[in-house]
Parts: sequence; structure tokens; C-alpha cells
Amino acid sequence: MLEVSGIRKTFVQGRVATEVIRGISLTVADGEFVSLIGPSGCGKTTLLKIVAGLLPPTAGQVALDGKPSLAPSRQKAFVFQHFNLFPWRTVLDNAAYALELDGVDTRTRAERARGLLQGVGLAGFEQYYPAQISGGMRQRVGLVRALLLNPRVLLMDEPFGALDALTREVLQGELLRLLAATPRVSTLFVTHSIDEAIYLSDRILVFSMRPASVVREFAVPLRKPRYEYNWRRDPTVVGLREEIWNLLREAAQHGT
Amino acid sequence: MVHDAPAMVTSAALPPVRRSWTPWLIRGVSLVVVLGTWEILGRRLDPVFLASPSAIVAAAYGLVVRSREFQNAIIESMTSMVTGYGLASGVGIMVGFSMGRWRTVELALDPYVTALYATPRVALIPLLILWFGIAFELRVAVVFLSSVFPIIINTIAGVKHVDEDLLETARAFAATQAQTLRTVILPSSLPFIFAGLRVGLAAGIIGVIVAEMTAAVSGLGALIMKFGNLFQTAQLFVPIVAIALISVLMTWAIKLLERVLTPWHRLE
Repeated sequence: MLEVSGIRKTFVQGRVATEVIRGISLTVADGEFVSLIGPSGCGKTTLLKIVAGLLPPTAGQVALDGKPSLAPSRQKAFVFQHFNLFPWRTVLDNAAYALELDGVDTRTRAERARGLLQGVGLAGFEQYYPAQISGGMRQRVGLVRALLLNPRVLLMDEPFGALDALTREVLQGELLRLLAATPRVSTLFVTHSIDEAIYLSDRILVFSMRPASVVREFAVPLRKPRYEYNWRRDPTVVGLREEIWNLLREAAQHGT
Repeated sequence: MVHDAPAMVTSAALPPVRRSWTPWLIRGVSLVVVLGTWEILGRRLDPVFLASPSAIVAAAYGLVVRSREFQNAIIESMTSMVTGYGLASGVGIMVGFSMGRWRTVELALDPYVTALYATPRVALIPLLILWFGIAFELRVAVVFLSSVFPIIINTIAGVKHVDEDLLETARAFAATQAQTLRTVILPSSLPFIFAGLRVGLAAGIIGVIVAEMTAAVSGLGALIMKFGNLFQTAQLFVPIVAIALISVLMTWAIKLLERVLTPWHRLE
């Protein structure tokens, strides 16, 4: 279980202090998928980076299974908006990056990477370089890289934001399939898209404008697996979409 | 939709199979025209003023096959070149890496690197003769000093040019300092290091020839001076062509190494 408690973050640059996060606490249970949605620049990504250990919080604690976890760790895998694959590594070596850092031998890591790559339709592309494949394929590699080490926490920063609408939907489905195969992982997902949050999440946290705090929390009561039916038409979705949309619009207006 | 955009994949991965011979034709015609004109001019002019290509080939045959002096000159120039350049590559990459990575090292060494890089290294040859004499050690020193600075400066640029997002990625996966160096900083700066190695190579070849011409005891540079002083114009061209060939071969070897070590770089 991932526990984030009392996180505050203030960036200080010279004499200017900018408060970005004002007290956020949340928990993500094992196997749970929680989305963070809010106006741009509200501090969602900052929170994600604090959880990953990439930024120190001004105050607050991050705990994984009850133990403090404020430093980067391969228990907490990150999927980046702009993929961040290493251009000098092949698809296979990018996918196996975390395993390599962990000291797993070449053959084992190739075997494991091949298995997951095949699962996302990348069989045959193992020896390609990132520059040779499409954006959708690159983010599949990013997903495999994150999940290959069986992390406890999956942190995703608008992972499909840089993709076209169609590829985006396909990847959302693939993410759900991959996660169904890794039942214990706790996912924290930053997005701008209300539909994406509804489709993927168990719970959605709506953030306020900067300094960020959680305005409201929604549970998504849709049955799983959601990639097997047309969830968009479900009356609960229509209502949920409307409610989140109103909240976000309000938050955005307050900010300006 | 699983294999999206396969067309793009194949076009980027596989080079076009159909090769055009037109560029080679243009090169061939150009060579024939230039060499032909040179031959005609060379035969009509005073042979001291300009030797014809055929006379140069004849002189080359005589020198390469029969002259121990010429063979020794090539070996001497090459060994000092390879030694000095090899040292410069090793030291240059290590110093450049340290300067790019650690601010303290950069602050401490930057004044010397900048000052020496700005100074024409050939101006130091008289001083270097006092220190190293006029033989092998002098040539190695001059080659080293000529090559090392472009290598250092390009390596620094490469290390500093590392994509912050990729560094963050390594950090997110809890890579150690050494792992980050090996998996991110080194591969990322390789194309820059190779740019430095190419510039350093050209500078090193100039260095060895100038050193040999100044000290004028042995090597291809000394031979150029000797044939020049004797007005043996056809022979004079032979060490010049030899130097050109050595330059081309070594540049080609560096490019080959670069292709092998940075296969991704051509794709971007």
C-alpha cells in the first residue's frame, strides 16, 4: 500500500517562494488505480515526482507498505509523458533497463523483456532503436520497462498525453490488460482527460488550482474488465463526467 | 492497431536497396578531367615548377619500392602519430569527462585548456625541442598537444549536453552514480567525443608534419623539406600524397569505429 501524508511543496527561487502543493494526503491500496486530475500547472506532476523520490517535499511523508520511501527505488516505477527511452538502447535493452540496474544477467533479462514485449505486440521489434518506431510503440516500451521489475507502485505522468487519440485508446486498453496481470501494483496516474481517468481508475482525485489540494474524490463504480464493453454509454459515466467537468471548470475559473 | 505505422518502421530500419551509380560517375569524370589537365600542363611546364601526375607516380614507385629512407620516414611519422594521438585520445576523454562532470575540476583546469587551445601549438615547437630533443619524443609531444584540446573541449560539450530528462529517468530507476555514468552520460556524449576525435586527428597530422619540417631530421615532413630544397618536384609530391592517404585512412578508421559504437546516431 502506498501512503502519502501531509505533502507540502514550496519552490524557492531567490526571494520568490511559490507554494505548489498545500497539504495532500492519499493512499493507494494494492492493486488499486487512482487518477489525479486537475487544471494544468496545478502541481499533479510535482506530487508524482515527490512520490517517485525525484523531488524532496517541503513537508510530509511517503510510505510504501508502512516504511518511509522518500528516495527513488525500483519498487516505484515511473512512466513518463515523453517516454524518455534511451536513444542508444534498442527496444529490448530499454525494456530491460531496470533489470540491468538490478544486476540480472543478460539472458534472463532478455527472456523476461521478450515475454512482456510480445504481450504488447512488439515481438520482432526487439532490436529496433526508439528513433525507428512510432510514439505508441515507444510508450509500450516505456510501460514494459516500468512493469518488468514487478514494482509495488506504478507512477504515470500523463503517459498517453503525447499520443494521437486512437493510439491513446489502444494503449489504455493494453495498460488495463497489463495491470490485470500484475494484481498487487498500486497505480498513481496523472491525466488531463476526464474520460481517460474514468476508464482506467478505481478512484479519481480532483485537484484545485495551485497551491494544489484535493477538492473531491470520486469512486468509479464501473464493472471490470472495462475494455470488454462500451463503458462510455453507461449512465453513471455520463453523470460522473459532468460532475468532474463542472468541478474542473470551477477550479480553473477560480484560478484566473 | 497493435503494429501501428509499420511502413515508417521499415523505411527507417532498412536502407534503400537500389544504389545509384551517378555520384560515382560524376566523381570519375571529374578526376579524369582534373588529372588530365594537370598531366598536359605538367608536361608543358618546367618540371621544377610543376611535376605531371605520371612523373609523380614514377617517382613514387622509385621511392616506395627502393628507398629505405622513404619507408623509414613513413614508419616514423606513423608511429609518432599513432602514439601521440592515442595518448591524446585517452587523456583528452578522461580530462574532458572530469571537467564536464565536476565543476571543481572544470574551474581548476579551464584557464589552461582555454589558453593552450587558443595558442597555435606550432609556436611551442622551439620550446618543445629544448625539452624533448628533435626525434620521436618531440613528434609525440607535438601531436599530443595538437590533438588533445579539441578532444577535451568536445568531450566536455558532450558530457554537458546530456538530456536532463534521461538523467531523471536513470534517477527514477534508482541508478547509482556509476550506472548513470555508464548507461546515460557515456553513450550520450559518444557522438561529441567522436567529433573531437576527428578534429583532433586532423590537428595531430598537421602537428607531426610541422614538427618534422621544423626539426628536419626524419619523417615525411623532413622529406618534404629535403626534396623541396633539392628542387626535386616530382619526389616532393610523394610524401605529400602519402600524408594525404594516411589522413584519409585514419579518418576513415575513426568513422568506422563511430558507426560501430554509435549505431543509433545516424537514425536521429
